[in-house]
Amino acid sequence: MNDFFIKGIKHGIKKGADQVEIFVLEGASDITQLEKNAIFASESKTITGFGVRAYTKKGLGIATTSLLDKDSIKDSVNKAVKLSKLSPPDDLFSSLPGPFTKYPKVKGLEDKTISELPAENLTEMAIEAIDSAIEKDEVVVSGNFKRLCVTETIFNSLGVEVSQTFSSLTGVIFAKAEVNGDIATSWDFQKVRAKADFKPNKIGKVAAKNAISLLGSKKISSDELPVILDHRSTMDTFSSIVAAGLDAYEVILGTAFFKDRLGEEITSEEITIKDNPLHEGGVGSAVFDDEGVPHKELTLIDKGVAKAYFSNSYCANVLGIENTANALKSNLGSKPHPDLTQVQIEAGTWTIEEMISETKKGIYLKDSALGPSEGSPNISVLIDQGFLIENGEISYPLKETMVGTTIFELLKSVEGVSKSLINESGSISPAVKISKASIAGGK
Amino acid sequence: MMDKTQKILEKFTFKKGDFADIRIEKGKGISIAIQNGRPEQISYDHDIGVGVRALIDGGWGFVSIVGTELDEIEKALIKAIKIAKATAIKSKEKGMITEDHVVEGSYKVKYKNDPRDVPLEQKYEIVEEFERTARTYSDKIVKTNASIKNWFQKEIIVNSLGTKVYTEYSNLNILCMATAREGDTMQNVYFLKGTTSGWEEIERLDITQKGVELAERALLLLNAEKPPSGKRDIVMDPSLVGVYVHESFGHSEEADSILADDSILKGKMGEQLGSELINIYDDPTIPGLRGSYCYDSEGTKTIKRQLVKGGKQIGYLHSMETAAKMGVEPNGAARAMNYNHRPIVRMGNTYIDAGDHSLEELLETIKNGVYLENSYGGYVDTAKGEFYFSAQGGHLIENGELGAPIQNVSMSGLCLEVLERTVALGKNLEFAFPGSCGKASQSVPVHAGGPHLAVKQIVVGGLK
Repeated sequence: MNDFFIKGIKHGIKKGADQVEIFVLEGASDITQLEKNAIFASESKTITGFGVRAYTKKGLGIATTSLLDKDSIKDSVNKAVKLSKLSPPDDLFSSLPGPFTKYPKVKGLEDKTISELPAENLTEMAIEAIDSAIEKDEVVVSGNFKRLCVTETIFNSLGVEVSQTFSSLTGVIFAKAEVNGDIATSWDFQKVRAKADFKPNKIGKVAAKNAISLLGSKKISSDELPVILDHRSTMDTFSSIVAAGLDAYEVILGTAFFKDRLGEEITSEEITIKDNPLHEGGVGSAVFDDEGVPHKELTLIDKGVAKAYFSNSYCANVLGIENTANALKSNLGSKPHPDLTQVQIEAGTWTIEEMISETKKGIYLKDSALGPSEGSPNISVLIDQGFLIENGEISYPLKETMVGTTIFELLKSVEGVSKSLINESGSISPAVKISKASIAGGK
Repeated sequence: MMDKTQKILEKFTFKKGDFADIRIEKGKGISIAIQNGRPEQISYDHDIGVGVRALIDGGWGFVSIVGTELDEIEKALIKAIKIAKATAIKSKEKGMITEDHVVEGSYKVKYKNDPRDVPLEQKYEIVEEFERTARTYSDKIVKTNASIKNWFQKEIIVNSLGTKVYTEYSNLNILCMATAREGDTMQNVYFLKGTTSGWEEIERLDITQKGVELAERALLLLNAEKPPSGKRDIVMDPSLVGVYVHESFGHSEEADSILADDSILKGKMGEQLGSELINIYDDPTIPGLRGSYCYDSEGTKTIKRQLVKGGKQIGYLHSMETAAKMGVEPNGAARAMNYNHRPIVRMGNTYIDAGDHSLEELLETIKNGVYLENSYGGYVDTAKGEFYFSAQGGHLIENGELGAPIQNVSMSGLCLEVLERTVALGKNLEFAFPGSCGKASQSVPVHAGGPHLAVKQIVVGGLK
């Protein structure tokens, strides 16, 4: 099949394109759907297709199709080249990347025991998760378990010709606990690249335990309070801030939060954040990015100081910076833009117990992100899973409570970083305490 | 193709209660996007595939394939039956299907002006004009992104009960986003027109005027006050009302959520949920809206559904399965994102019907509070009945009049409490929120709206 794609690249050049790239996806997924404590449906899906990017005189044309055959390749290349000739030039574009002679070795991207896992075993795993969740009578669960195997192959006219295969197992359980009309919901999930790391019973147990812990939620009055973000909340919050703040494409557009601030202290010196796609067995790990550029580790914030923008080939050329190999295509038809692969935040010096015990009144957030609003540094989010802290102890769960702040205020008010870390298949994070945020309560 | 596909089904024997269907989709589309004056994307997309479902002994199996080769479709059906049987062995909660529901029909898209006939260059010029007008209005507009996308899809649906439906679906969207920045303050606004009608809907727009309005909105918010934090009396514009009704009620009225014990409205059929002023509908038959369609993804002809009447819950949205389980007729609400997904219960065009007050009267009713406008979207936890939605901006309401503008902010509430606290409805129904609805990893186009709405004591997650 690869020969047809290589011929497709040559065909595109022959048709008048200056540069051509083909990105191919081939794979399959099996999914077990759960509903109301039972297996509800089983699914088997084909994930196949390719996208062609052709550049002619700096004009870009893209064509995609789900069909992987010789005629579809030729047809799509023809369409992409035709569109590239109709497109006005993007004067900032200089070249596709490559070729590259050396790629890193990243272990643990594919596990044959996942690729060859019989579909029935996926169902057994789902049942294991249900059974461990409904040990608690008051809990009803739904969710899904998924096995994914996919191969990405990238060809371009500069000589890039690379391929990588991933496998993964994902389990998500949503749990609802109900006692005397009081309802609470929660979830847990796990995504792994090695079957041996997959713990369905833990997913079910944790989801049920979380939901039960949120029963008896109360409304509180509006206030200005400190907020402790648990490990997952910290990961989601800081990933979203860094993703919007240090994206080289957003720098070009003028909307990156930290544009022109490299070298400045933007948060507590306890905060160090890296993007690391080379972590063994990481779910965000990969040998190369979506343009076929070899991956590398990148320090984004070092001891509170903004160190680097993450980029793709386009941004690196425009800004005259290093290509950090962070290109990501959101779908086959999209142009690859910079995105984070796998965020790793370093440990601090606090224990979670110290953070809580030293809080007279505050909020403890569980698995909830304080992400910025679209195109704005303002943060205005509902607390899905949160607790009130009173006199140094977790008091009760919250309902109808929102947090309002800005990303700049949040970063400035980081008071402590935990020494404990979670490592969720390569995404690593401590917990963090911020000294204040506006809390809007429903009382 | 329909008869050949039906013949594949006829090779298999399905006992009473068992079922299979085959959905063949062929779609094509063009996307054009311009960002900050530079072409971002001109792409042509072509997607062909088949989704096959089987229900055997109460277990569901689903298989998707790319391409439409008949041999491959038959193999997919065999596989779907096999995994359905395996599922049935493990499944305690048995699936069902409406057994006497057979549909034969077809629907062809009728355009006044077919978007596929409009030259690429003409589409590009419109996107360029929209983006340029917004971008060049002020140096403080730092980011602009405009696009046109049109998608056209043909679908064949056949099932083992004898249903044979051919249906077409199209979608045409024009979008422009603008971000204004001054120092660390940034505000983002957008305009989206989404329709299932033809190019005439784009021609009706004054693109230049829309670009100016968008830039002006972004600049106004740049200098607007920080939004307040806490419980406030509010007036929502029709765009926010659309998201509110979609999130807080529409999702809770989806019968699959009720059956899965995942809706706050379970067991409340016929109950008075709140203000008698409230009438809620979901109607995919309204021509031209983004959530409009004729046949759903199971081949059921869709109808207008009333969900709440005078504040009383009276209806659910149904697929063939939920209808069978509840002993009612399917009402055409089973939608799949594409051939790669199973149909599940979804909304189309959801709205609260108009009342009889002017906006001025609503502001006078609230007296002091917050006016919120131009939705960003939201989400709901149907089991808890807690929802969240965001506004691009708004105004303070002071002494019954619109006061100073405020920046983007989000709100939350408990579905049943908010319905009780709705105190007045505006008189102009407007479908002001064309959007995409996500559920179970599937995104489908929807539209939502209503009149202006005055609600007491909503939690506003502001900054001060």
